[in-house]
Amino acid sequence: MKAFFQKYKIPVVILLLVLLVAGWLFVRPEKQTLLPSPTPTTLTTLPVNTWNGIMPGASLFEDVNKQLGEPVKNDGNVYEYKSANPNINNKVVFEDNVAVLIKRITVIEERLSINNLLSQYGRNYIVLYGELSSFGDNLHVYPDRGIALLGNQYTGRVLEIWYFKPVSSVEEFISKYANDYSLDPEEHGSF
Amino acid sequence: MAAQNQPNRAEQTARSATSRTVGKAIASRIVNSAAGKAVGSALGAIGGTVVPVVGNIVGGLIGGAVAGAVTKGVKEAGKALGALPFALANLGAQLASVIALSLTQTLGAAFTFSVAALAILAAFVAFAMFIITSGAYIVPPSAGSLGGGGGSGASATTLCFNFVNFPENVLATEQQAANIIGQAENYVRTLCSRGPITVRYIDAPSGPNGWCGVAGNGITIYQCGAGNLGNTLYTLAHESGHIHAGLSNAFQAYLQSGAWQNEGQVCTYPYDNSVYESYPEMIAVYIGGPNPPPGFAVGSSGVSRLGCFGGNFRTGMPDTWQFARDSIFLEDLEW
Repeated sequence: MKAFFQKYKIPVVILLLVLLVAGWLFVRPEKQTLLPSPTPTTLTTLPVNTWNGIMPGASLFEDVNKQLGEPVKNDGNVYEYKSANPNINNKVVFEDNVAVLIKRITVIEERLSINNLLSQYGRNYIVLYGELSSFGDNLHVYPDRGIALLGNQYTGRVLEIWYFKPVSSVEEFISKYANDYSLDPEEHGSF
Repeated sequence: MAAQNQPNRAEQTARSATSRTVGKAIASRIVNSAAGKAVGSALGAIGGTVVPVVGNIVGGLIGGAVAGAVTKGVKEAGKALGALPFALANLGAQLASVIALSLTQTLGAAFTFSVAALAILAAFVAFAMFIITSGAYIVPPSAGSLGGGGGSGASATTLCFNFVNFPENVLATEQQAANIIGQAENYVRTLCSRGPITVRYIDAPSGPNGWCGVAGNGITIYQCGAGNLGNTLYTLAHESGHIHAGLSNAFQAYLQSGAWQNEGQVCTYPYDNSVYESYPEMIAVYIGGPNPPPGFAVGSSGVSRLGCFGGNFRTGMPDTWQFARDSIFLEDLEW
């Protein structure tokens, strides 16, 4: 046996090397696709429904004004504040002087990807359909976490991020915060 | 240094012969006992020449490993380097050949045949995978095919519009309108990028609230969205704009554009206007151009709504026209 290995040590070593390389090629992890990372925002802070130091269910009207500036418009308990988009304002809904819902308008420059965010927050979201569903933009809701994302999974864009006081069910979310949305895609179309 | 370790031809032949002789000698002694089989398998795994069956199996496994490695390596390189996989496939095949030659001299013909066959197979698979993953195969385009399915009316396909349930005369005008839209090649490329769009006709004067077209999961056209070519083109182009918005980030760019900030919503939209309707309306009036077919953006009153521009779209809303030109169509159309 010893003589055999001594005589054929070179082919055996080559064979072992080939097996080693082949084995490594099979077991090595797949190369990860690098996606553009979103710019650092408060999305990564905890809890996830906090934005710009404002926490729905806790922040007062004065706190919101301090963070977002004076409102530019209001309609009842809905107040509008300037956003990064010059054409559409952020909206904050108050109840008893406490912010309960923030609709933040996002812009392309933030380089947000709804697919990345959905991966980050988990796949247990609920999809609601609304006015923009004919554009492929649906509302992806995490009722118990107090966050919802309005965006298009095909293009990856995010149009709005909603922060709200968590609720126990999607029905409660619709009734409290999203009357124009439903679970039925057939109810919505654009004309 | 490498040359010193390279055996000459005579040595190679001698080693090969010795290898086979030793293998057969060992095999003859141990092949008939259980323990011998186990030992034989172990030796076979090392040398691949103990008995032909074991040698072939082990050869197949090793060949498979080499083939898989070559396949995977070539596939990875192909993804990264585009056209280079041809060269890499060739390199991989050559590498496999070198290994096979070395093993031939050491381990015998059956094993080597397995390695060589699998290496060729690996190169072929790598090439096939490159072709598939790069999309370099040809799909015949569909255009202008006529059919009779989809309910009581006629059906047809123009561009990626699958017209369903249309009366024959209405269908002909829809196809004419689709061909006009088809002149906007860049627009259509994005519009059709996700596959066919079903355009269904409903034989009713209008939809809910008087709408003549609805976009959602496909497009629905009512009687008031059809008729003459101008009206048909206007409705189809507008509704297709909704679909386009879902496929292009130009929509989000429009939401935050200076065009909207400076000029507001496109004024020809007949219902409750919003930025979400303004985007497809912008598309419709861009396709319509300065001299659209009669009936374009004309309501039941018979008055053209294009008059709201105080000229035409380009002169009345220059920033919005420019946005459509630069962000959506990427070309002037031959109006």
